[in-house]
Amino acid sequence: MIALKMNWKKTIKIAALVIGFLVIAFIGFSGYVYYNFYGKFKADESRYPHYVGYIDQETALLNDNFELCGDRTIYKTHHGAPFDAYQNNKRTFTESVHKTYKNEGYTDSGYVNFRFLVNCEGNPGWFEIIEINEDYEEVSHTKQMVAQLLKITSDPSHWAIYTADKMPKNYYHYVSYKIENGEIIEILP
Amino acid sequence: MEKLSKYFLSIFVLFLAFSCAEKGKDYSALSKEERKKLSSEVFDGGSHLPQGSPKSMTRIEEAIAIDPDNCDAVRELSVAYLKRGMPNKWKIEIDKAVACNAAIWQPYRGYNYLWFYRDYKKAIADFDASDTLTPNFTDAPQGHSVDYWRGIAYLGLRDYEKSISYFDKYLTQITEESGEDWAEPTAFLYRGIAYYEKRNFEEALKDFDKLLFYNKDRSADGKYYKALILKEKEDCETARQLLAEAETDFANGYYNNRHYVETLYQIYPQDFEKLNTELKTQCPHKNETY
Repeated sequence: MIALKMNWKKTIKIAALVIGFLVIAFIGFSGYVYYNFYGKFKADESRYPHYVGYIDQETALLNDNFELCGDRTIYKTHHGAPFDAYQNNKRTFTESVHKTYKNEGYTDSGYVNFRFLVNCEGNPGWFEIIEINEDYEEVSHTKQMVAQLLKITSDPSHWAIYTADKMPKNYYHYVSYKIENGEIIEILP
Repeated sequence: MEKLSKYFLSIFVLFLAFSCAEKGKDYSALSKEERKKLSSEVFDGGSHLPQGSPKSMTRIEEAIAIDPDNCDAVRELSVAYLKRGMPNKWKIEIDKAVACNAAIWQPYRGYNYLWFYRDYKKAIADFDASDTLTPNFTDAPQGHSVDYWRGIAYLGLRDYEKSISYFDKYLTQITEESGEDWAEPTAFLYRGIAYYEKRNFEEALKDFDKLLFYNKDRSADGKYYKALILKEKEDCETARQLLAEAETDFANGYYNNRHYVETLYQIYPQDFEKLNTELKTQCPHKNETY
């Protein structure tokens, strides 16, 4: 009986050692993979505090009309949501913009880009505006024109609810208006 | 058990020591070849990182710092800005890539101008530059000949003659070198549209038939444009059948589109509705079977 009791102890000890070793090996291997795949790459946070295209929700325009949903995770940050963002489809949006926009004597040429977020209810906000001339240099276009475009773009009726895993999500999108002498000649992307 | 804990602790400390070890490199001590090799390693080694993430951007900058002639890295710095609608920053970075290696990146910049900005004139200027930069060689940014891209750019400018002539050039070259079946089918679609816009319906039909042939008879665009032409020719019944097929193809995903941007002459269900209404109200009541 005593010998049997001793064997059990030994068996448990060996088993614990093996399991312990396997757990450490697994953690070690996972750590090694993580390190080589991601951890070893440094981020220069002074130059890149966030991913390219990040919208600072504190400083963005129209940031107090709506709330981001859930844990505030934002989808579609890679290139916006050209196939999911528009209510119905982009043709509907384009036609509506052309119907609403009025060139009130503007002579600007270049692009006006609106980068923004849409929450899980399809409500847009958190706008950033980029204004460039035809040579892609930053400029200030006519204030009233930009304000008119912002008003049109921020109309919630244009934006669809994007769902993933059957749940509505917050998402990123951008709209770029190509302007020639105050006329919208292209709506991108 | 006490011993056991010590073993585990030792292994854990050893693991941490290895994990945190970092090789220090003095780039200035390296030869030009070594810098080139290391720059490629740094650049390629992080290609799996999320595009535009701080880690990815930092590793690109590091690759450029090691070897400023790593033009692939210089170009890569522009891509996230391009895709996320930040042309002010994209332009600065892509211009650096063109300065670094114009032969490779100028026609590519033209491709960006064409699709992301619909800046047809600047796109054409970049495609044209490639003729001089690489004489006797047809560049193919993003997998297609600059002649194909010029065909699309001139179509965007509504210069249908030039559009057709560049598609002719592209199709002739690819047919002679590899066979017509190697051609991008949308070359037939876009050349067909250029003919359609010129109201040269016979040539347009030939191209839409080619498009359908190479797309195994599945193309909403090809059938839609054929229906438009047949409406003009007052063959209303065939137009209706084609339109119905176009709608089916569209619903099944067989239509011309691009990943990041709306394509040129993108078709939408509204186009089908409009044509359907026109066929009902305008097309003469002949050849009809209700």
